[in-house]
Amino acid sequence: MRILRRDPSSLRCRKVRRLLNAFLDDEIDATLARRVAAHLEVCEHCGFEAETYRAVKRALTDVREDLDPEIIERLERFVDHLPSDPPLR
Amino acid sequence: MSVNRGPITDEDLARQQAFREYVRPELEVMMRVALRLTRSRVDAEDLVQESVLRAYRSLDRFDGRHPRAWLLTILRNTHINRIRKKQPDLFHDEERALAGIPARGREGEDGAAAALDGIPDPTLIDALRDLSPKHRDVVTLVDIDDLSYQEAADILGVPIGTVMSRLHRARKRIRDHLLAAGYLDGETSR
Repeated sequence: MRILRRDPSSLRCRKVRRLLNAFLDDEIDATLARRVAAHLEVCEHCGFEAETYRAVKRALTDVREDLDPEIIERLERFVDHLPSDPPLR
Repeated sequence: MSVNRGPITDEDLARQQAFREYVRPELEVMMRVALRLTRSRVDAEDLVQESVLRAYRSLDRFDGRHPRAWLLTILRNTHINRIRKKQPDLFHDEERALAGIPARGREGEDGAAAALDGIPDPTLIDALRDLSPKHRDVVTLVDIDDLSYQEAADILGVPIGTVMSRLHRARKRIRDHLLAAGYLDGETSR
């Protein structure tokens, strides 16, 4: 009887789904990220899941409004002109 | 309160310069987060200024690591203090204060939803409006304002695991909404 063995470094779909958002946000360590990426390469379902979440992230990033540069300039001037006496100690 | 500061020294000037270098690159993200918290450009700018002053006064207690996290924590605490002073009866808990001030004149709509007005895509607006305020806040801070999980957790005063679970649920709901609207068809060919 042939015994099928899983690659001990491979991740199961359930774990990949749990890690997927953190993976897409670069919030997991590099070793785990490589294992998730390897799984996404070979698993069509998880790969599709990742692709849809990437699209959601892109859509949300695209709605980021540019701040009025004058506001930032005013705040920079505020920071540059803080009282010249030293902070309270 | 009288404080004996003594004469200004070279060390003081160096520390002031270091403070400017910590703060200047973070002003934009502070302003974005302040906008989320206050839902008002004027209040947000005022909140950032007050937070910068508080940070300046507590510079001695800052170890120089993670300036963004330090500044955002001060921003959050400053916001909560201001809300409590303005509306002591309305805000008994932090989460309500951070979930957004109920928008006056927009009956039935919370402040976070009102803050979506600048977003051009109606499908995405609908998807975001459908989220509860606490889920919308997380997805807004992480995806639109580009904060890390830890930074979002610090701002919201919740554990990082809560940020992760709320983000997962929020994105799943947005994804389902966009899929149902046919929004993602062209981008996901499989």
